[in-house]
Amino acid sequence: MLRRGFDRWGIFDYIVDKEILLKEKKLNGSKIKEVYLTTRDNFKMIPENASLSHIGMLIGHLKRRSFVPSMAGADLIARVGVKFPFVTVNQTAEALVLYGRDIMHGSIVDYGNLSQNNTIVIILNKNRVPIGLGITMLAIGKNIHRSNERIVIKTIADAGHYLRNERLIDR
Amino acid sequence: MRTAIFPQTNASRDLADTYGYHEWMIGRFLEYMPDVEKCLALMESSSNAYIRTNSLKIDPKSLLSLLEARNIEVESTVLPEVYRVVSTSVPIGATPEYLAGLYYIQDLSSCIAVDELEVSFNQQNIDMACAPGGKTTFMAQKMCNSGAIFAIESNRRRIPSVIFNLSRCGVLNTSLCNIDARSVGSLNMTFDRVLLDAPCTCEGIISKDKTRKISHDPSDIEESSRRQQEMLLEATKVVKPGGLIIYSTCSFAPEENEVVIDELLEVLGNSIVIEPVRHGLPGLTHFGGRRFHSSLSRTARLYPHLHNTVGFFIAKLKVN
Repeated sequence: MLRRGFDRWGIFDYIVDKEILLKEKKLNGSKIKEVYLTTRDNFKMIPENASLSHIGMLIGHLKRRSFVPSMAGADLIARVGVKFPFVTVNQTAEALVLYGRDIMHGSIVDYGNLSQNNTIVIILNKNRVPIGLGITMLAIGKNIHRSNERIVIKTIADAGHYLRNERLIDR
Repeated sequence: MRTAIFPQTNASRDLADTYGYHEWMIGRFLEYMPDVEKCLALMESSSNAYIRTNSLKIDPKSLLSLLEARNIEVESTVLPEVYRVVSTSVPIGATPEYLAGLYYIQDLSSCIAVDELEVSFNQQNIDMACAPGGKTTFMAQKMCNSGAIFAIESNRRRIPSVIFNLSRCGVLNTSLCNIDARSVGSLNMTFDRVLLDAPCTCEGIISKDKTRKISHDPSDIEESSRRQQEMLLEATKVVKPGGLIIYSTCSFAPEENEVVIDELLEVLGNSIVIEPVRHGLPGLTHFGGRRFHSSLSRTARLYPHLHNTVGFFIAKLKVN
C-alpha cells in the first residue's frame, strides 16, 4: 500500500535507502497511521530506553488504504518526486493559500498530472516553492482536462498553518 | 562561585539610570566589557537580522534571487551560508520561502557556534538543549542529512516548535527526546560531537528582549551557573574520545561562561583541552578576584557593538 503511494507521488527511488516508521493515531474518531521517514543511521541510533517525541520527518499518513502526504511530505515530493500532481498559482492566490483559503480557476497558472476529479495535488507558487496541499473540486459536469474549465482547489494543508496556530500548538 | 558584585561608581549609576538597568549589572559590565556605553546604546535598537541558507533545500545563489524578487536585500558575512538582512519590505519570518524552509532566521553567533563544532558526514551527534531547533537544523544541513542527531529538550512546551522547524527544514536524520540533558548519560549513548547551548540568563539578547535589563538578580546567575556546570559535566560523559564539545551561552556573565569552563578543567584536568575559536574576542582569564586557567583565552566572546551579533560566548573543548 505504501509502495503504491510512494510510486504515485514519484518518491519510491528516494525512499529506498531510508527507514519508514508507522505510528497509529486517532484522528476525529477514526484510526490513521502516521508515516515517518528517517535515515538508517538515525533509526539504528535510537536507544531502547528512550521515549522519543519525534523521529525523522512526518511525511504523511495512511487513511482508507491510501497514502496522503503531509505538508513536509509535499515539500519532499516537490523536491525529489517525479510526475506528481500539482497546480501552480499566482501571487495573489499564494498569499491566500498561506491563510488556508481555497483556489479559484483564475489563480491557477499551470497544472500537471491531474488524472481525475478529487485528486490530491501539491500547490506550488510561481517559483515552484510548495506552499500547500489541495484537492481538486471540479464544477459539476465539467472536464478537468479542458483548459477553459473552472478548476477549484480546496486547500487541505498549507505552509502557514503552524505560524497561524503557534500559540495554540506550543502548549 | 557567588556572583561578583562591585562597588557602585558614578559611571555605573549614570549608565544604569540612562539605560534602565540594575546598577549591579552595569558595575559588572564595566569590569570586563570594552566600550560599555557603546554596547548599551546599540542594544537599545533592534539587533541585526541574519538568515541562514538551508542547503538541504536550496543553494545560496538560488535563494538570493528569490529574496531579491521579494525586495529583501542581504549582504554576506564571515560564514558562507549566512547573510545579514540589510533591508526588507516584508516580514522575513512569513515569506513562502521561509515557510518552505529555504532559510532559517538565526543570529550569526549561533551559526558560528555550530560552525566551530566541525560537523561532517555520517557522524553521530547530540544537541543537548535544542529548542527551537535552529542549531540542530544547521547541524543536519552540515551533515547533508546523513548520520544521526539526537536532539534533547527538557521543556515539553518547546517541543512543537522544534518539530515544526525540523519538518520545515527537511531534516530526516534527527530524533527528538523530551528529557533533561543532565540525565542523558543514563541512555548509554556516545557521540562524535556534542552541542551544549546552555539555558542562561540571556543578558546577551537584551536588544531582543528589554525585560532582561531588570528581570534577573545575582542569585539567578548563580543558579544558572550551577545548572550549566552539571550539564557540561554530563556532556563530557557522552562524548567519544577525540570528540568535540561546543559550550555556548547568550549571556555576558563570566559565571555562566569562563567560570563554568574553568570549574570543568579543575575537575577533569588534562582530559579536556580548549581549542581556539576563530571569531570574537578572547575569553576572560580573570574576573572578580579569581584567576582562570590561561587557556580560557582560547574561548570567544562576541559583543553586539564589536561583532554585530547578540552577546555570545563560545568554548570549544576537545576530549582526550
